[in-house]
Amino acid sequence: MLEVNSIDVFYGDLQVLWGVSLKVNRGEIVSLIGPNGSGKTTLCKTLVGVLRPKAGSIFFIGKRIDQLSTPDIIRSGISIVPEGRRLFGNMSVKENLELGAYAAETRKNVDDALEWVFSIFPRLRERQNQLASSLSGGEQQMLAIARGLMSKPRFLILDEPSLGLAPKIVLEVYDLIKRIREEGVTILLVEQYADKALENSDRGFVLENGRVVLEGPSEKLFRDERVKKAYLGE
Amino acid sequence: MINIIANLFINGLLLGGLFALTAFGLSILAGIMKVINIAHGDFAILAAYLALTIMRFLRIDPLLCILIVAPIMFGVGYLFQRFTINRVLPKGANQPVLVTFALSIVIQNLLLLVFTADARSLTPNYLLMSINIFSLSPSPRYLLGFVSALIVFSAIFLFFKKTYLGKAMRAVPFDPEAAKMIGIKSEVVYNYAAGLALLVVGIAGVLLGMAFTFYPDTGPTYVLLSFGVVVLGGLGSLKGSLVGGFIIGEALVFGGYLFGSCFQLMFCYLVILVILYLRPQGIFGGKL
Amino acid sequence: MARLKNQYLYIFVILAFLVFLPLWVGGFLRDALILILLYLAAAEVWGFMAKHAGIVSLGQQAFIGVGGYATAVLSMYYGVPMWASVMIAGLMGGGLAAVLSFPLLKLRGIYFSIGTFLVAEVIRLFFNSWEFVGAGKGLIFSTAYYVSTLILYYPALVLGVFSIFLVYYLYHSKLGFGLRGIGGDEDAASSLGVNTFRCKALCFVIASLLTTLVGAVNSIHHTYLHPTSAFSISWTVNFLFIAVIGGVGTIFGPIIGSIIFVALGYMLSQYLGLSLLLEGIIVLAILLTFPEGLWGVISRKLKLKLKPPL
Repeated sequence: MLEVNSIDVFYGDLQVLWGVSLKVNRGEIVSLIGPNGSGKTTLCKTLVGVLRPKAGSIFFIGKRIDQLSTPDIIRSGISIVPEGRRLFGNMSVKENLELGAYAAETRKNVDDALEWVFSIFPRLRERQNQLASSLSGGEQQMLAIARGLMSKPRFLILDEPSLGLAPKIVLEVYDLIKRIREEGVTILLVEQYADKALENSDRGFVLENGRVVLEGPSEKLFRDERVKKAYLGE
Repeated sequence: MINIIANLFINGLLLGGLFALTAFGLSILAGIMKVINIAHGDFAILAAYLALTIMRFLRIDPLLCILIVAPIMFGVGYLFQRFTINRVLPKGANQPVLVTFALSIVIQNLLLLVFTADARSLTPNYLLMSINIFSLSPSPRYLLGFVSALIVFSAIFLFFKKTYLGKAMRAVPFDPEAAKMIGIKSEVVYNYAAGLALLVVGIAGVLLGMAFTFYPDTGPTYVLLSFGVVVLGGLGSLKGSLVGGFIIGEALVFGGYLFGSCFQLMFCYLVILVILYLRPQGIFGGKL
Repeated sequence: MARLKNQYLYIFVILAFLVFLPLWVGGFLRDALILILLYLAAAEVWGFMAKHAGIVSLGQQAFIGVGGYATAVLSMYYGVPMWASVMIAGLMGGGLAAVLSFPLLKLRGIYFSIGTFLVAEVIRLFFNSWEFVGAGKGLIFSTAYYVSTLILYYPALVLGVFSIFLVYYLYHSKLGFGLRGIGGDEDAASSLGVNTFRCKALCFVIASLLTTLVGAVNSIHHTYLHPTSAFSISWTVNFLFIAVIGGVGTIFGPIIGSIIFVALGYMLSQYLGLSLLLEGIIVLAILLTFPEGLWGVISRKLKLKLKPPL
């Protein structure tokens, strides 16, 4: 479904990604792990068009997307839940959700999308008129994910969904991720904490210093010596 | 005595509404694009002169002119943002000051050349009569300004609350990168926000032209007063603009009564300076 | 060593030329030269403040007006000798700037700029109603009639030349170093121990004092004072124009700028408002396309490797 072919990405003159390639098939949950600063978020930004690769290409369902604008990419069916949630704290839960559909087709039937999202996140329905900044950490993460779903994406990128959350909430989040897959969404899971990500995904890629250093089925990566030492704390 | 004070108070309130509307355009630009447009007052006066010209050719009531002036000013705002502000923002904090200042000078002198330095007014006859309610006599010109301001503010409030573009305008200044990631193009939003800002400025300009005589160089007075409203009320805040407008309106009216028309403006400017000194972030906060 | 001597020689020759210049040219050109020198002085310091200290003042006309009125009042009402009046007026302007720096320099960025504009307007409105100085009728500076253009040239020359050396010296001094840090990133400079307020205040006072002296000499030249023209925003517009044409903050820029400005003024003198309109349009064009100004373009084309602040 998603094919990233050997992209080079720069911040100004500073190169951050070198020849990164990865592939995600329909229906999979793929995890991308790696330390802080390895370029994971840069990759996410490039996938949605906030950054453009200077070399290489990105294909989504056979269509080339690396030179498209972000709204066009979203309309193709990709959506992102950014690192740190990045909610609009000055607006209500409902308004944040509505904005999630801003660039997408779902904007025309926003109420349908809202209904769908509320069915997955009942707690958000209760709080829909509250200010986004007044929600708890876990609820904010839910809201961020829900916002990402408002465009009814076929492919969802989750950048560090468990960051700063209590373990109990993290479990809830991962249950949700499984539920989202059941709803037919393919997922790219980007995490610093490798254990949860690998437990809950089919395949994985390890990114270090802007390069892909390992890839394979999550089971194998989980048992890999290097991964265990670096990321699983053994 | 009480009657005099009550009258002054009412007129200050009404005038305040008009000034709140005038300042609101400045507030939008400053709150969303983080730019203070020194040519703000000159755009308002430009709108007044536009209305004057339309009145001459079409012989219609100045209020009706708003229907023509408003879309024109929207276009002006859009172009202004697209070709001026956009170019200037990345280059450093002082550029917008110099550019909008130069623009202010250009507009003033253009108006001077085209319309000469004669005093102008848009005041129709029906605004010159006096009103008497409960032994108070509010100025009809101020009353019109106040009512119009309320109508426009309500419309804008609904726009920000209910429409997608309005919501985008609230989201982009809060977190521009997040907005980008969910597909909002901030340049487009800025263009429309500037258009909206100048549309409001245009309406305010016509109303100001109906309330006071104007000259090509009246612009700076209005930008300074609007700045006072914005400083008092905080940036981008609807509520703040109303409160700030109210304070400035009262300051002008009472200043005029206490010190005479010679020192009226001076008093008002001093009030603004004092507020700037004591609480530069305004009563409702909000840094630039 | 030889290079150094050469530079001083050039400067000496130029200065000598300037000193004897008015003896060779007629009255009309002397007027023009005086204007060029006065505007040069004011624009140099305005540009320095704007570019290197990050202070864009839209209110320097306050000092022009105060300088003019103070000189006239001291000379006419109190019989103070002309040049002493000028000096005292300068000090008064500096004092005013010192007092104003407390409230104004608390403000950042555009708030400061508008603050200066507000102050200038308050002062203008005040003078417009102050009977003592003639209010709206203006003030005729009678004692200035006796000062000939030739004599007036030299104070103007001093101001013009001094401003160049002042800017050069300030730039390379400790004060200038601190100011450039502030102009770059004020918070960073502050955290490194730069006393931002004192630096900015000192710069503002020095610049305003010089501007006041410019206003004083100008009023002697003009012999008539009126609040609308003495405190007009067009002073600042002109300084901006001169500074921008040459490249804000450079030393040679305003030299070219003030010559162009005065020439333009003479050519368009009969069209009210046209010169200002043209200035504004040119400023906009320069700011939006090549902000380094005419001097910047020229020095690039001539491949002159000039160290700042030249």
